[in-house]
Amino acid sequence: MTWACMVFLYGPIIIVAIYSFNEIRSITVWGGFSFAWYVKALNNDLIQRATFNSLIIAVGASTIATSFATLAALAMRGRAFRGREGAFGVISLPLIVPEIVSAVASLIFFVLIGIPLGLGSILLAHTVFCIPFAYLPISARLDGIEGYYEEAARDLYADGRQAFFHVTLPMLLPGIMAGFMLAFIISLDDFIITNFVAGPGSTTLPLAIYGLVRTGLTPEINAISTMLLLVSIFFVTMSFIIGRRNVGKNR
Amino acid sequence: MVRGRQAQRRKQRKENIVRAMLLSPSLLIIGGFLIGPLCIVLVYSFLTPGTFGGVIWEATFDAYIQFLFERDFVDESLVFSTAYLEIYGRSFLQAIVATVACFIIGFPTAYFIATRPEHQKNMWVLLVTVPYWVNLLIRTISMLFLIRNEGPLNYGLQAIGLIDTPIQIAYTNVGVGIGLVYSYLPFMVLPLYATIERFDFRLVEVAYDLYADRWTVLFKVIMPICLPGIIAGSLLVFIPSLGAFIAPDLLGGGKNLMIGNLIALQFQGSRNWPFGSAAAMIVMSVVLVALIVYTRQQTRSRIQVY
Amino acid sequence: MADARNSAVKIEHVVKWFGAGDRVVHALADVSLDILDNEFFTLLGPSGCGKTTLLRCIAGFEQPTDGRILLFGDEIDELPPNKRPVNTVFQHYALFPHMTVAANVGFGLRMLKRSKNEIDTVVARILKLVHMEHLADRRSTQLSGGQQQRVALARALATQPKVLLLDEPLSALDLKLRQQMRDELKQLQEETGITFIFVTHDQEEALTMSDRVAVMSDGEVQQVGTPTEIYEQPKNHFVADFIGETNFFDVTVESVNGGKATCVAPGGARVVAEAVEGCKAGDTVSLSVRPERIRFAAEGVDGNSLIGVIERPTYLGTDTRYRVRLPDGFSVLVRVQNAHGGANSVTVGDTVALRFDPGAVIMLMD
Repeated sequence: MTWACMVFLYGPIIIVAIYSFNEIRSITVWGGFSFAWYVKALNNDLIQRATFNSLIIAVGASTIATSFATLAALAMRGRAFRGREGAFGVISLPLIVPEIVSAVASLIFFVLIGIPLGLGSILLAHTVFCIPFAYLPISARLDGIEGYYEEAARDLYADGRQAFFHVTLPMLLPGIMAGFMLAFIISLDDFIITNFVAGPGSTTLPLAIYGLVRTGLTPEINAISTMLLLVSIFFVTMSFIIGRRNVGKNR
Repeated sequence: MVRGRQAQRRKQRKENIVRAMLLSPSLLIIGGFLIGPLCIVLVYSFLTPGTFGGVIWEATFDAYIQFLFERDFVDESLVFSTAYLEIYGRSFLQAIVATVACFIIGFPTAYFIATRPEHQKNMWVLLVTVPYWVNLLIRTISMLFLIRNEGPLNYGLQAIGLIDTPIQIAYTNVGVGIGLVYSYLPFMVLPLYATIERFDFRLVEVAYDLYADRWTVLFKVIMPICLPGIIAGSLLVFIPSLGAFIAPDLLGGGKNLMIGNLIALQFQGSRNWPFGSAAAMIVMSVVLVALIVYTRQQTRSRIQVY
Repeated sequence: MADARNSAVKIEHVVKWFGAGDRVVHALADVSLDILDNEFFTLLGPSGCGKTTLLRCIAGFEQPTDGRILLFGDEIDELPPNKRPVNTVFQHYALFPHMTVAANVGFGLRMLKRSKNEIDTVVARILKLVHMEHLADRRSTQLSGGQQQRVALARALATQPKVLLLDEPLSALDLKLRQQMRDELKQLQEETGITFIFVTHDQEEALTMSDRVAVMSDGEVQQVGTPTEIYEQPKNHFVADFIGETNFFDVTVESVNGGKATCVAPGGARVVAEAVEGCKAGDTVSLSVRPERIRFAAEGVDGNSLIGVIERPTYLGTDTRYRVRLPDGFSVLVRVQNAHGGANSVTVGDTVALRFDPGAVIMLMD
């Protein structure tokens, strides 16, 4: 059953990938291995613009989200304090609320407040749901850092600021990077919320892909899908590996 | 005695202030851009729709009434209508079917992974998790590509000779169902795996020793103990499925609407914002109820352990 | 004071509570100690006795609920750890994993904003002192346990603290390495002249390395003294029991005569002991006799004498330990050195006479 499960999970995307290399536009006939569709996709004006937008937003949102999440993780560690569970609830709220509901809420809010719908509104909305994704690896990493390192630093005449920058932060860095990469790919991949809060001129990669699909499946779409797929897998795997690296146990 | 305690309390108060400051950016932005807006949605669901979208600030229950009733054009009376109830019913059904299907596929898979040797386990977990991280849109597109009439699946079945004409899977309820399972399967596998991994397999041996057969062991020993994981996984599949948009949109082909599509429609085509808000609130309520049930069950099971 | 040296660390009536309300833990219940300059001082006790808490109070990681701590006359109990000229060697070493050995050792000096030249010189010298100079550029995570321990030591010594605190630093090492490090630590203390305050639950460590030992239990100091004093003259039941092995007799004092007390055991046997000041006839006391002070001797030796039957011998390499059953049902442990024929002189079932001096019998008033 597990094998069936694996086939089920990976089958479609592998098949799409295979067909993206098919020279001719057919399911039934194999025309030869070719990157033609990839070239066509990459040269597509709309795709280029959309990718550019997506990257800008992803970098922006994940940077802000990771910074906020780092501060939050530092605040949440240590022994329990009043409101800690509530704070954690708020931080993980974007994960719990169904995306369609968040999308509606964001749209209504922006219109009500008068924030114009464009790249800026997308950036804001993305930052909100990137925070919990960045938070989780950072918090996990922070939990793994034993308290005695900071004690040792203070014992050796470091004040609070020095102890943080020389000891805690370097040890936390893999977690922060993992959080950043995760937030980045989540922002890059988002569709539903982006669909709602994007303005007429601003399109992101998932939106562009959606538009193309509505007009019919083409091998170009296969190519784009495969590329985006590889990028996603790469980022998530890197996030995972970096987050696990050298937890620093001196045993 | 007083001196040391006072110092301790002073230190703790300073600590709390620092914590509050560190948390404030995250809490403020989530509070301001999610919690606040959600409240506004709630308010909007009780307002009147504006002509070109937006709202008129007039309180009314119209949005909620619209789910069950239609206003007759001629005499303005309310007529019971099943149009929207159908959509809700379909959504619930799809979500339940998806959850059950994910469970049937997911449980043996989780069991398999949990019984692998230690060093292999992480690799398997990674294998199951990675597809989830791929763009949901891309994955659904891939599924559409596969199951549509001109797609490889139909082509393959015809080539083998199992069928003569393509089976219509895409753009049907079944297609949407498959799409939902495809979207959220890892969400079922992972919590199940976590619980099964912690399961003490010696209990199975004890059961066999007491003359139980395989099915009894499965249903009377393994599943009850793994119930927390089963519930967690089910919730993690049911809730997103209920509010799903991409799967029904791409694989449902404009008919077979689910709640997600209905809501989206209100903000694009139909321009009935209060109605969309109301629908969103209903979805949100279901989620909240499910969460409360879940946390209640968690605390109860913890109490039982003690 | 018997010693003309300065007081390095003076602990005055320190109390430490954790928690609040009805879940308060009394970690330290009125501890007073005077630790001298250039001394190797050990805090010894079972887990939970408060020794680590006391150490952390001196280091500054905990603040006493009440009481004062003085460092060479200055009150330090309100200072944060980074303002105290006291350094700690942690139980799990706590070497910074993202830094090299040299960076670790130089950390304190860097925090004190010393010049790069000075830091390099001191680091080189200290690493040489602990025989680790060849590993200066190694990542701290690539070292063995013993090497990490040495680096932790070097790191704590680099800034020339007035007092060095060591929190069970040898507990993670295997036996041979532990014994080697004991000698090295002792030597290091003598060479540097820095006061070492050493925490351990291992009595062998405490007895072999220390100038003085404070035996602690339940947040209180039970006794302070040199290793000899602690071992030969325990002041109470706990110390006598915790350090080494001993035999306890619960007796009633019959008469006191010229510094010696004659006591009666429940079974009727009479034991003569060194009288403790203030004891009188009728008192119920405990007597403690170390197993190695009891001999198998038939006749002709003055002092205390008991008859018993050999029950079980245990071969311990250097000694053999015998469990001897007395007529009233109690058991007594006797240790005889094997090199002096101990192992072969008696066998199970033999009836033997046990003899021991009154001087070997310690009277404990509690």
